[in-house]
Amino acid sequence: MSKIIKIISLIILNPIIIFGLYVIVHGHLTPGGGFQGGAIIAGATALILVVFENNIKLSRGLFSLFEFLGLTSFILMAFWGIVKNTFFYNFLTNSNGILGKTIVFGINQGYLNSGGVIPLMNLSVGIEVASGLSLIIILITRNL
Amino acid sequence: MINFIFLTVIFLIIIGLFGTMFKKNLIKLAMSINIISNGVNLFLISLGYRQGGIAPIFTNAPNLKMVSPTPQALILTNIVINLAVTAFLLSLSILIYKKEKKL
Amino acid sequence: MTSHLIILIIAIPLLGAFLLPLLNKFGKRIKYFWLATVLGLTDIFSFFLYLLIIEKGEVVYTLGAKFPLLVSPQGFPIRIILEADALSGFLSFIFLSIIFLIFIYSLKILSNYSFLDKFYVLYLLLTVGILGFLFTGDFFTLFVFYEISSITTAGLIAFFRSEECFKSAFHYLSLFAVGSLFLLFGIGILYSEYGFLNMGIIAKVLQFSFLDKVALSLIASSLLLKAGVFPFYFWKPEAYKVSPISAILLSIISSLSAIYILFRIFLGVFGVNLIFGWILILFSIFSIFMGIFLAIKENNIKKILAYLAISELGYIILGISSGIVMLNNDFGFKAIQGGLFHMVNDILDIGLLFLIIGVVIYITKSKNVLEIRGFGHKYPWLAGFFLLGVFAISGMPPLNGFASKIIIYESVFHLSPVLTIIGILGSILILAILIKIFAIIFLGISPEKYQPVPKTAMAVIFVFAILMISIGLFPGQFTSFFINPAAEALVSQQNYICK
Repeated sequence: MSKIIKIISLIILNPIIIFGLYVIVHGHLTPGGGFQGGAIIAGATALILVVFENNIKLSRGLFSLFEFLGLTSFILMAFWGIVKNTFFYNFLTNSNGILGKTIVFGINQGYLNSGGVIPLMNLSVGIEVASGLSLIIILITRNL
Repeated sequence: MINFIFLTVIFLIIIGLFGTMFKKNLIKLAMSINIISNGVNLFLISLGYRQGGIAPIFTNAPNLKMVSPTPQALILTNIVINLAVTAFLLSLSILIYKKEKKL
Repeated sequence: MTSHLIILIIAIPLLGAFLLPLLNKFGKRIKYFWLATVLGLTDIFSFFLYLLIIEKGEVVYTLGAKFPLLVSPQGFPIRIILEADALSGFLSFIFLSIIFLIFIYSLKILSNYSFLDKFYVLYLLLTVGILGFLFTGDFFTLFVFYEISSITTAGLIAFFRSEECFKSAFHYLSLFAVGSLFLLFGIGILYSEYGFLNMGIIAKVLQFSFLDKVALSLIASSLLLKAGVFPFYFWKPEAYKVSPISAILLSIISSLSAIYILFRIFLGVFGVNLIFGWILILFSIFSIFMGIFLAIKENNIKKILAYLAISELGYIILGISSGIVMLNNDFGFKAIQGGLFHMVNDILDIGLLFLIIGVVIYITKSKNVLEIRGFGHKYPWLAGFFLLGVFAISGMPPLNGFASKIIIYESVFHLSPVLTIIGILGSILILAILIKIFAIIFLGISPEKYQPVPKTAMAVIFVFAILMISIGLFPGQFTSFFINPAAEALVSQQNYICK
């Protein structure tokens, strides 16, 4: 690809990733969540692969590591629920600590500090989907 | 009144089934499966629809007239699964192409 | 702790699958130790779950909270619900034991291939899919587990990485993608009418209208596709021809769990319906004969055994569905007992045959097993066990196949003697086909020199044979401890639904 496209795509690379992170972090307040944000971040990987073609080396091992971390943190959070109550129990909500702000049922302003374990799960799903989809795209463009 | 949504659903599913039965090209097969999936997704999402309803989210909602969230959760799951299936099918077709040099 | 047993049985293999890539870095020994721990632990848990169910009745588990605030008008929590009764507890124990044995069997047999770490991840995930089928309490979880088991089975089919494998996996996956969308469409129809996904709630409010029948047909056809019996049997030989033996056995187990959930939905949600019962009886007869006749002309050993597996599944469906048709008299219960008993015997019998064929392929490294002659001369034990499997699968008296088939024959006789005659005829034909194969592979004298049988594989075959003989010698004890509570659980659906 030409130099213009390379520079422009490098400029918009950061906004794409930041928007993906925004969708992931606000998953419990707005439409979206881990999967959608992760898919947006994987779009950044696709952009890099399309623009730089074969001139860039993306480390597969790093993506595998992040995929593993996302999956394991998700399932371990679910397991920690067993200790407190049952599997997938939301042990942080209404605890008034971090992520545990008590909010009334109904229309509200939207507090980032609420939702208990759900934002954390969104984050781990987001990491998992972003790295997993990136891995799929890399493998397919490299002809497996 | 004719229910256009359900007609579209049936139309999409029939197109997809036609594709899966009569197309030999592997990419077209994967596309047909996606068309069926979209038809089913449209069917499910239309079940939860209410006239004038908003997205079922409390953050800064103007009113409480909302569409049902359950079908949305269902089709989100189906989209994720369909993504996995499509990725798998496409990578298998790449592998087949590498060995056989045709799709 | 005991209240969490049911979720631990599903979640521990899931955790095991997710942690496996990390443990792979630390070497083979730790990986196999971890796999054995995960599978063994779930097996032990499922046995305790079964004891708990026998003692206290059905176990219901809601994910997310012990006492959920949101409750439907029928008194069910609006959450993901897992349910286990005597039937699913018993099946989970049997299936997990066999999955553990297959793991030990495949330790040596598959050790020469690459991508083993991915193989075992898929192995554990398929186990999760099977267990999800057994324990699910709502339709949508059923759909998710259906997809999990389909995708992982497709991955296992492609394990040997030849062109044939890829093609077979592609066809399998495209078929099951369509099948799962049919399942989702049927579930959507049910949801559109009643606004619930929980099986218990739908069972209470169901009116059996025309749309419900459409939904039942869609759900049943996708589950019959998974089971691989008569109208949708065609994927089975193609998939089994290329996949490793351990994947074939897991696929048979997932077929059995599909039959389980089919009858669970059929009896529990839709209630006794004679027309659907007779349709299933018809399908079962067709699959018995279809499997046998297609096996006669086949000349690939794995395909022959795949066809015979189809006809064995036909016996199970024949038993249970004819039991449903005549549920009003005593023989109905007996027939259901026979069908459920045959579920266990089916996986043991056809499993033993597949295991021995797998050993033969491993030792001789031949593409076509039916070209081997005089194998029994070098390995008399294998020949003996193969003969044992042949006699068991065709229902010879002192073995386990006889114990369950005789119950099916006796009880089905009261519905129609023709069904019994068909069943006995099918068994005789199965015996004829397999004796022919036995004679080809094992009889005669072989000049070739082969390596010894792997010890782990031999041990697993030995355990299978011991189980078969002991079930055949003491069918009464086995029936009274496992089958009777299971059959009662299947018949008395009211307990299952009303927690």
